Amino acid sequence: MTIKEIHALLQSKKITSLELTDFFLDRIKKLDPKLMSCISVFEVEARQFAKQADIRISQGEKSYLLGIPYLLKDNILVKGLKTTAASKMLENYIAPYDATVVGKLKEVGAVLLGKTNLDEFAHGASTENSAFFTTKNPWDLERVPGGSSGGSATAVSAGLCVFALGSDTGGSIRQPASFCGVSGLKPSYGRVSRYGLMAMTSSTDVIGPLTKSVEDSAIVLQTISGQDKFDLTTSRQEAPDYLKNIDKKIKGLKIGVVKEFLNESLAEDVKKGVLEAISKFKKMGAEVVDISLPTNEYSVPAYYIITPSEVSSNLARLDGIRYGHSLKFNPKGKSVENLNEIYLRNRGEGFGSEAKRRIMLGTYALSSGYFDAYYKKALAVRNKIKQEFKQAFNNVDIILTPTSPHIAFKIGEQANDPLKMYLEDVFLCGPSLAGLPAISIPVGTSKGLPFGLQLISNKFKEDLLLNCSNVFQKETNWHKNFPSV
Amino acid sequence: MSISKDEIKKIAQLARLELNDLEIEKYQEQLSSVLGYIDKLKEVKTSDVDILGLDSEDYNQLRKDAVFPADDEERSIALKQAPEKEDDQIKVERVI
Repeated sequence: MTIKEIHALLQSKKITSLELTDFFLDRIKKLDPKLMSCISVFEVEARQFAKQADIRISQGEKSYLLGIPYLLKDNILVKGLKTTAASKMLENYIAPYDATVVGKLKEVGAVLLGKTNLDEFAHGASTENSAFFTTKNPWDLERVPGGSSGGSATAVSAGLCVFALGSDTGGSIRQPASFCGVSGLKPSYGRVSRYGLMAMTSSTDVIGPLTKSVEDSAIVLQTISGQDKFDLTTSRQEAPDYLKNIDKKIKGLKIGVVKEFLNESLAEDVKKGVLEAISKFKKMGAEVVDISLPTNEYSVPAYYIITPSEVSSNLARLDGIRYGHSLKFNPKGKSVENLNEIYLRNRGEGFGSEAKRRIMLGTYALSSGYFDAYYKKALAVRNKIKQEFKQAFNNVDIILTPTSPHIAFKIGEQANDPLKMYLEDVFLCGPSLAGLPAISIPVGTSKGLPFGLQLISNKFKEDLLLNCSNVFQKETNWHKNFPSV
Repeated sequence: MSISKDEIKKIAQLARLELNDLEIEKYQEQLSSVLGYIDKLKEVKTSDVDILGLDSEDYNQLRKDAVFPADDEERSIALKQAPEKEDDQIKVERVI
């Protein structure tokens, strides 16, 4: 059911938010032992939120998300509750404050059910890097859900909540959305506040919704968007009404396609599905234009210098001294070496291998002697990519690409090859580096597994992006397929 | 692009990460492979590109230099998680 349909049931008192919340809590109890999507479930708190929502509904409040149960990726802080980033380092960490998006969702009365699994500190594309457990793809339990927002994607796909929030730095909402057959939106950088999101790559991180439909995505985006005094990278431009023109016909809309992307690197079925979607858009009146993004093939190497560099800086705060994993340790008298020992051991033990790998890569790229060749070079390439997108948007309104070259891979298949994992992001890094909004919507299946299509629009033009992807969903049924778990 | 074991040890020390011998070997291999791939960036002509590339919105936003009272609950949750405390202050090992 869509958010609007559930909202109508709640408002007409056909069901209560408490009944709805209990329904999802029971479903999680029943199905999650198989799926492993949730790190924490807050049963007591969820019921409290639901009861408050029912009171507010009876008092006449009408927001779309009032009384609606949702899940949060476990790198988003909720005051007084555990937030772990799926890391041993923060296994028992209790957040002292709410993320701004959580504050906004509490304000409209949405019901928080719990926190979902992710790759540790959002480093990964499969959720296999979680220090606790791997989440399963609900379409095939032997396959990954994608990452790093794998828990959120699985939960939405399997119907464990109405919507979920994830974070996307280089594809972490879009790729799991593609692997799990749901709609995943990465808003423009600065559209949604990052306050309370554990920082990974501060210059590309964004929080965004995973939902069953584009319309639901628009409703959630509306609530979580906005300028925030606690995050000075948020835009001073107010968010427009995302539902206003969401059904507008797309006749004459210019959609740019990069021919080089539709080559033999794509799985056969994925290529077929993407080409069929392109014909569909043409039938709906859009004009498909060939465009070129020659520097895009360098977006992955640029991203994998910039990201680890910022990660190495952002994770430097984790040393077990103010909070987090700390060993009981025997000090060597009053030696100054003690402090160094503490850092080495707490961090050596607290971080998983991908986190350590990225910290090391970043430390290397930023260190004296390598800074110019790596970090500065990557910044220049990033800029070139940004300019190319800007130029492309002078000629087209939307850019269309596959989300991932293939369907979900098997658990363990890519575990020993970090480089192969990084190449998952080949279509996804570019928009991240350029700060552009992008969405992945389901567009086909292959061997019983879903895959998605990516649409990208110019900065802060989420309304156009949502309009274009929504009308596609109105004419197709891919987004209505759900796995039987 | 090959990194030596010594360089790996040096980076680990800079990043304050304790690694065992197995990890040092594994990371040497993996980092060399990733850096080899990243060397691809050399192919891009960037002499004409400005590295900062700031957008029109990117300028400093300042606020008044005033004191804001802290939320007591936030403060107490934060302090509760320090492994060693004395008088509401977090205790650390000798620095100098």
